[in-house]
Amino acid sequence: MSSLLARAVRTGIRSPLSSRLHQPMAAIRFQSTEAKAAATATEEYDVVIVGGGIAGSALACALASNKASSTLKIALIEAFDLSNHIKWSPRPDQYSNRVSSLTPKSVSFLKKIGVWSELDSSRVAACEGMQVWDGVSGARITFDATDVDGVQSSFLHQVFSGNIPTPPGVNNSTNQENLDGSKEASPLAWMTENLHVQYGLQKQLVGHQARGVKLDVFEKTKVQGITTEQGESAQPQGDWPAVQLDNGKTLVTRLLVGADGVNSPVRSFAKIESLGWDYSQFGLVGTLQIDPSTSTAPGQGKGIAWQRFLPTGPIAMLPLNNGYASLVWSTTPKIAQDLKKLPARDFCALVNAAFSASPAELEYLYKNIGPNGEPLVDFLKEIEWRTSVHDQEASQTMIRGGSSSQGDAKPPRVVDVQENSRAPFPLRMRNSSSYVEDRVVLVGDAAHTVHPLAGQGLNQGLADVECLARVIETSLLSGSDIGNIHSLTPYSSERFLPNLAMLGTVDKLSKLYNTDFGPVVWARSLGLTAVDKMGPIKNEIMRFAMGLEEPSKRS
Amino acid sequence: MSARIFTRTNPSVLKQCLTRTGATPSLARSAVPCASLFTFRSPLEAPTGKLYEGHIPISPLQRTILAVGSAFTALANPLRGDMVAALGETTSGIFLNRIRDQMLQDPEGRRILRERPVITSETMQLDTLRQLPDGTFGREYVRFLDDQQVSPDTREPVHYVDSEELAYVMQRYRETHDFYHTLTGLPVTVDGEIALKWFEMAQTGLPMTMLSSFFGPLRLSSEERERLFNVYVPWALENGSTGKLLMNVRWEEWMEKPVEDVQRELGVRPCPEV
Amino acid sequence: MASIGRITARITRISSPHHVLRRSILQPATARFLTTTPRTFHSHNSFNDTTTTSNNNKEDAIYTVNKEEIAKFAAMSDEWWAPQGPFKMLHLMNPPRIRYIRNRLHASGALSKNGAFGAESGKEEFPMGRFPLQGLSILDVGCGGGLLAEALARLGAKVTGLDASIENIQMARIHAKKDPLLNGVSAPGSLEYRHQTAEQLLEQGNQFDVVCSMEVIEHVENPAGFLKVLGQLVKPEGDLILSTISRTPLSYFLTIFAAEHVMRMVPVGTHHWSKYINPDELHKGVEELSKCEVLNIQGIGFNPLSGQWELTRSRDGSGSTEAGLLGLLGPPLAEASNYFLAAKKPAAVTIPADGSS
Repeated sequence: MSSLLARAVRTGIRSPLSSRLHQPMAAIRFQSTEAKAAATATEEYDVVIVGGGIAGSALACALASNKASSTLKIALIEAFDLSNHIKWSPRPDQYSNRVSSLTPKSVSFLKKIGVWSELDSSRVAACEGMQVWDGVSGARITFDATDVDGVQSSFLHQVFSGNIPTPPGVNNSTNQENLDGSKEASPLAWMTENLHVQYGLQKQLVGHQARGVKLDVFEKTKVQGITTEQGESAQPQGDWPAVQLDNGKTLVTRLLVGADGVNSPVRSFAKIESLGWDYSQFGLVGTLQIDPSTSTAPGQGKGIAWQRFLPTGPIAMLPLNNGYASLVWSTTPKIAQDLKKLPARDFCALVNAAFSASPAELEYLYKNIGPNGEPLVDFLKEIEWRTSVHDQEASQTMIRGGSSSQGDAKPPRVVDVQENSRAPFPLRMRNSSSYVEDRVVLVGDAAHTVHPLAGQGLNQGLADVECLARVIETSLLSGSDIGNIHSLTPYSSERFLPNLAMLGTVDKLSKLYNTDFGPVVWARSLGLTAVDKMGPIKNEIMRFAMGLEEPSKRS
Repeated sequence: MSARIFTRTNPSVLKQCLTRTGATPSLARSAVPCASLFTFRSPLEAPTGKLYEGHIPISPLQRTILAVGSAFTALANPLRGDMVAALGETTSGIFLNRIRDQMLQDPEGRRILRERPVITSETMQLDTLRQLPDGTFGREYVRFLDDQQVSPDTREPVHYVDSEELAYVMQRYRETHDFYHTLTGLPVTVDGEIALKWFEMAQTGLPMTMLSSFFGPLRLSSEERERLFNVYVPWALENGSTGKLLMNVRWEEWMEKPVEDVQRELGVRPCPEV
Repeated sequence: MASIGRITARITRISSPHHVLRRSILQPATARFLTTTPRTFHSHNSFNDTTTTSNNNKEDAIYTVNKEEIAKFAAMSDEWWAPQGPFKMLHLMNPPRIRYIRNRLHASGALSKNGAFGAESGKEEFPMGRFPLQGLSILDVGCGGGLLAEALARLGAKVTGLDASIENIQMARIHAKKDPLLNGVSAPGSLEYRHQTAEQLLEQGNQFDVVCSMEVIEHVENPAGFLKVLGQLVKPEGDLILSTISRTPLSYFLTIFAAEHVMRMVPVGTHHWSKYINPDELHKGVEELSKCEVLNIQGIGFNPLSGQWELTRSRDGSGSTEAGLLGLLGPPLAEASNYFLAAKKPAAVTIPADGSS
């Protein structure tokens, strides 16, 4: 996205009038102290959002939908094409490989800003349950949406958001409605392509522009530099950040929002440190075609998400519509690259094996992928042999009524993988030391990055955006300068701890399952099996992951 | 564990042990066991099916009792081959998995698992082997068998492993034991066996090898122990860990090679003479 | 509000605010139970300060002073306005203050009469949601650096800020220039600062829709006279909103013992406990002296856990709309320290010419 920038300090004095004169000259970075006229075409904004991804666009949308903040002058800067999203018309037999799971909290936010109704329900799949198991020991935990108590707000959420918590189990019987007003159980999450959400967002933005909101979208534009004046405070907008674009314009803004991803230039400008580490794992995504009739789960596994923790990393299959599924396989960098190059037939066989074979068996197959991705042994034959050995033992064990691991539900078989849909990306964990600075605020991946194993990344970003839009609205109604750090502190207070908690939890989970060391496996399997039997705790975990909490009572 | 060096097995104690817990195994040398009958447990709780010939399914409680009982007995009387075998089978659960997984990584090992060759006096064709020239692996192997007056058929069959494939691995492990003697040249004395256990431990990490590696020497005289730890053990550790995993070796195909060639190819030096 | 006389001495003691820009959000607000602004002040004699002349022309006020003076005031202004600086507690208090004022004006019906008061013809329509106070004229007596005045102006009001200290006025003017929203052109709000006393303003015959005076009355020599003048400055059917500190053991502990002596956030001698006024006393004073009907009294306290000031429950039962812990506190504990009072002037009250009540 935006290229990295160098910070320069300008010590010019700008006359208050000159900001309104448009002098179409080439952009220059440095001004002499005596220059009074503006050397670049400078425009004033109240909010400049750098980054038109889902988080940035959602923020623009939320600001434009709120009563007071829709009067703000907003700019959205994006290096790629945004208008293309509106023209998105996908084929029913093709799914983009970038799919996200949206929690009920995120969905209610999208409903609030009018995006949810723009989406095509035939390309949104509900996830009603999850099956998660240990690839080494087979210990399993299942989550079912029908078990979730949709009313009570999550205890953990209350703790982290600073409200006085009500104890778990206390049921508020006066309100039995779910987030979406329906009475039946809400799914755990909804799966849809990121492009789909962008489609809804961009349509809404265009609609807002049409009804008069001062929202300027600078697409296909890169940020060349961000500067701020330091020095005499007597200048109007003296401490406002100035964003220099590669089309010659400079935007001076009251509040600068960094929604520009993990290598955020806005964060560098604000000198906010980003702490964290890179996992030695890559995530491989892909679109799979599955045969639902091969699943042994009830309902042919419709709407069930499957995740198996292998020592190299978790492999997850997320349900889409029409017999498609999205694959997210976190594994070592080498294996991820090899998987990308495998022929489709062998890849599908390997994915199927990854959900059932032992790690040692998979190890053998990984080792036998050649430098160009060609399998060095007959994958299908090998996998078939191992499967037959397992099945035979399984059937014997079933007869004798032994351990129940053979009675567990199996995921559907993968029959095909969509061409060119396999893509690896590096996994990392990052948290910024602070989300706010004077006149700068970070949202989404710019603020924090998380391992995808819990499907929370996008949801955290949307929660950030929802909170920030609300905080800006409140500041406006208090007459505050929205860029003042005191106006931004409530956002940081509300989001920092929950994000940290989520990051920490997911990170520990990924480390816990990254090993096949005996005692650790034993301990974690014991824990998992135990939690699987404890309904209230599972309930709490589900609600925490779903982001269910009481509506905020802030004025 | 080698049941060969021991003259006979005494089934009575084991039988008593298991009868008390409700199992009635058959320890007949022939390979036709009778079906186990469990009279006091619900069929739903206790496993009732056999996975392979000779399989005696036992519950976790029985398994524990057997492990403890056989441990004490074997320690007290190492000549009790059946106890040693029972101890091995009840304790090696995870580690048999490990050996099987290691075999799965190797094409040879996979072939063995797939084809499951069995070593008996018929399959090995002992008479043919006796005709081989001296110095070949096969000839030395048969010489070893004849010296000890044992045959491949006197192996204790596997009873208590609850997986067909793992039972085969265990069986193969026992059956190849004699080849290890031939390969390494270790004598069939108590300390020689212990040295071989150390070798195996370096190779496989099996707990029963560890048990006998650590507890076995207790029964040796100090002189033997000294010889063991000064000579045999360092050799065993060095060769066991660097050589190729012997479970992956298709011994049947190496019979006509000279012993030195076999040793060289497998990366094992012969044990030092004392 | 801050009436900062000798601030230059303090500037050398306190580190530059620019160094505090980077901070960790997780640091708990060091328990600053600072309930009001630190100030040294020269004594006020019923606001009859004849040593300075009233100066209505804000532009001249800056440019008649030389460049060094500008720089000095600018530095003062930066110091005062630094969000993490010595007046941080005051900055934190501002949003609840504004919300209180807005809610009270709404409750008393002042907002619905927008446009009928002092309407400026020719001004374009501004959205009510963003500028609820447009059309109202508000006077902030003792405006200090302009914190409250700017916020009110951003909500669309025509604000006049009054302070007897020239330094405060200069600081406020300098800072107001930084925000284009306050220039009176791009938004309905406007801002004007006057270096005057309340009496001087009254003599000029001014009256306002809303008169605010936040934490000034406890510093005034003649609070009774002050209340009278304030009452006269309010238009009929206008609103009067005050805030001050109660005279209770708790307020002594918090504002004098803790803030002045223990944590030294405020110079010793800033507050005089004997000058604090209890809610009932103020209630009586407002009714009798200012001739306004008291509508609401509500406490405000600092919650160290959340690091925010929070309104408590008020006497008329109107709950705090904010979800704060202190919202659980009701009177009288709620009014044991800082509190607000909102009153409304009845229509067409005649004030006797001789000034007696």
